[in-house]
Amino acid sequence: MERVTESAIGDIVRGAVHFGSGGGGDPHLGGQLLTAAVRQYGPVPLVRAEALAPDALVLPVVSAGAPYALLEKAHSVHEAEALRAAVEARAGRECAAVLPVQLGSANVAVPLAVAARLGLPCLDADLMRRTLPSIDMTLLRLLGHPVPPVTLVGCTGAQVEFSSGDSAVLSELLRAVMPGLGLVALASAYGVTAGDCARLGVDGSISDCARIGAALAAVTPGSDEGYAPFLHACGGRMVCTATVAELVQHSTDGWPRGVVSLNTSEDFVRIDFQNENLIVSRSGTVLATVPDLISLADADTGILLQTTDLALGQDVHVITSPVDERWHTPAGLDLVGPRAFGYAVDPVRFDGTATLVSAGPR
Amino acid sequence: MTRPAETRLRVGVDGVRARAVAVDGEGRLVAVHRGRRGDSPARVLDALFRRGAGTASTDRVVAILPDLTLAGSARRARVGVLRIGAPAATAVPPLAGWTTERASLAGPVAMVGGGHEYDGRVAAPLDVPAVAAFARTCAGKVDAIALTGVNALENPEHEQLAAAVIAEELGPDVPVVRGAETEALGLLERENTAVLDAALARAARAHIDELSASVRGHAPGAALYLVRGDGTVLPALDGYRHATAWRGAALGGLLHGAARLAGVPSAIVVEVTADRAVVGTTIDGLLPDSGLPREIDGVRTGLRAPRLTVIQRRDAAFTGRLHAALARAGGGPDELPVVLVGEAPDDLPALPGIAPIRPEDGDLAAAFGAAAAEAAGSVDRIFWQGTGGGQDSVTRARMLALDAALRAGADPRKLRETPVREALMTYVPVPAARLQVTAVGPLLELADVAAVEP
Repeated sequence: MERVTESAIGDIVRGAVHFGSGGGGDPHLGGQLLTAAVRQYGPVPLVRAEALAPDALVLPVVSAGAPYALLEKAHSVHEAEALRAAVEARAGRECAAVLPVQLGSANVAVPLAVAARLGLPCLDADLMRRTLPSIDMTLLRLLGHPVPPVTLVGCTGAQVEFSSGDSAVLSELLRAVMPGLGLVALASAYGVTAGDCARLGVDGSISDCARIGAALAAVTPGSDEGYAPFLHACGGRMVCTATVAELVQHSTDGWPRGVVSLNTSEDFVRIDFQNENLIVSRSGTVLATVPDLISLADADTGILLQTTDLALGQDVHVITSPVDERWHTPAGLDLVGPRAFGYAVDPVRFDGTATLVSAGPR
Repeated sequence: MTRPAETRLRVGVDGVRARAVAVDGEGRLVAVHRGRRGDSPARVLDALFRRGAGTASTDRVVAILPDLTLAGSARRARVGVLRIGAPAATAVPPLAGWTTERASLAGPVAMVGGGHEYDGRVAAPLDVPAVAAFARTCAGKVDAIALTGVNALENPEHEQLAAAVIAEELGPDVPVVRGAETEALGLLERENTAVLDAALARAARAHIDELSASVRGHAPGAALYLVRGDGTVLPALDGYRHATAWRGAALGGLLHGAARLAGVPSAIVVEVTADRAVVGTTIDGLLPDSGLPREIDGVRTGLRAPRLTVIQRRDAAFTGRLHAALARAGGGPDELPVVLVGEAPDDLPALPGIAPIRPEDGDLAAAFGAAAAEAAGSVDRIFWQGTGGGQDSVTRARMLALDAALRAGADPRKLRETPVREALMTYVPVPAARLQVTAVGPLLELADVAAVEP
């Protein structure tokens, strides 16, 4: 894919929901935001990291905000310029391209819209290969790249920068400033060059969203076979069709922990989720876990759903699919395996096989 | 003086299927009119009254009006669109993703400073001069105004102030629809709803005024209500500015009415017509939510969509699909009765294992549902829980839903409530949650109010 035109936006945000694993925000807002930017500034050119000078500075962009808060208070037009200015001032040079940090419907649309506004190309890449809840859960960090400096800009001109610090402390600090910013901010992190991105070897993230989004649009709801285009595109499998019986969430410290109970025609299926779906189990047997993707599709329409928006009695398909292999290494699982989210279960891949390497005790 | 309850009549008009009924205090059908499809709701109502349906004792008329659409509406209004909240949310201007054709119904569009934060505090002061300037730009160019504020459900002050400034400039003949009048999460969802409502305001007025004239002519003492998409009532005066709220009323009213005709509080209802079957569920006066947002003319709105399955009868797999839909509609913990209504319930193939109730006069289900419609109020918004803890906000959400049901006309002594649905904030772990709750109950009897007055 060479550029993002208005006609491609629907597929891109629809496909990005797949990488949200039940989180990452509803695609409607992202689609509207990106449409507004493309109508005003024209299509967004996509580039590969190898096409830029290796030492060219890139601008990682992520929307830091609760999806519900973003629905009420979307980003301001001023945030893009402010973020770029802050990052360029610290680095002492200009950015050559925008880099999406994660794949999710909001966080694919926002960096593309920022690129359109700034007149920059957008790298057809990202740092997570899916949605993950924390800015430090990236493949770049897995390679030992430091997370700071982290920069946040709010819509009224407030700027926050954390120039150094341990990633756990940084995450805590980031959350602490969010209420003051109205729960919505545009963020950047990691001093990244095009060379870093090339070495990371992530290629075609936006193109993947477009391809999977087009396959989702080709789904014929009503039968399992109707999902073949999507399952083929994402390499996933249909686990079951079930009815939402209960959804509970509780928060003790930090992330809310939630459970969705589903009834199939013969048994019970349970999904443990926080910001994304993390574990799917059937009558006590774990079928798949994070870091692989666990999606819920509305049985009537084939639309991929946000788990917090499920309605009781709604019929859904549970679909699991693979992610970047590097998340399945011991170090990857230490960062984003089920134990990293506080669940005492071993990782299981999307197809039900045990992961080849043990996560090790934490 | 009050009339004894048994002589009070309720009239229900099904303006889509051209049926009207008068129902007495005991729920009995007293008069019926079956018109021809295409007859206007006012014509159907006139015909019922001409049958001598106790016009003097009719104290309530509740009508199902046909859905209004931009495409089908010759009288659509040109709309001035105001967003309050800059600099927030400016990256998604009003009508951003609308097709050019749809967006052409807009007159002046402006984003002005103002708006609130998630907890209701002011994010930026309202730019009153900019609001007044916007209103002057609109003078003579628009038929209605839609205005929407950031976080205005939590704090509607800037929306209300701006509406007053605009009314001052444009006078009382230009309707002003505020986003926060629709209880829905999402700035764009409320804004789109307000724009559609404003665009349809002229057409809505024409429909309601025609019906209203008929009511005044025959039963001048009767209160006029419309049926909402969820089958509960919308006071006619609110209907002028909320045409989208009555979308889907023909099915919403039918689902409740079919259960009432069958004498059951909850049911799976199948409406069978010559070309299709629609399967829906009504549970104790409310329609289960589909979990999906409702789009109108390709535009995302803040309206909730009830769970319905439509099966075309020319579909080769009709019987199989119908069975699947019935099995799914009854997927809850309790066994629900199946009620068959509509024009053609008898030419449905036998349903093995199911003994459906086929109420007499099944073609009147929607008109009957209108006559007996209840009033409801819903809350669906983000609550900042702060130091008060979750319980305070749950109580607040319940009170707001009860208040909304009372404003819709419900009897405070007879309200029922759904459990409060709570969804916590993701990605930014702060003490805030989306709470959803609905209160519903029968309309307050005006005679009862009169009876307790000194």
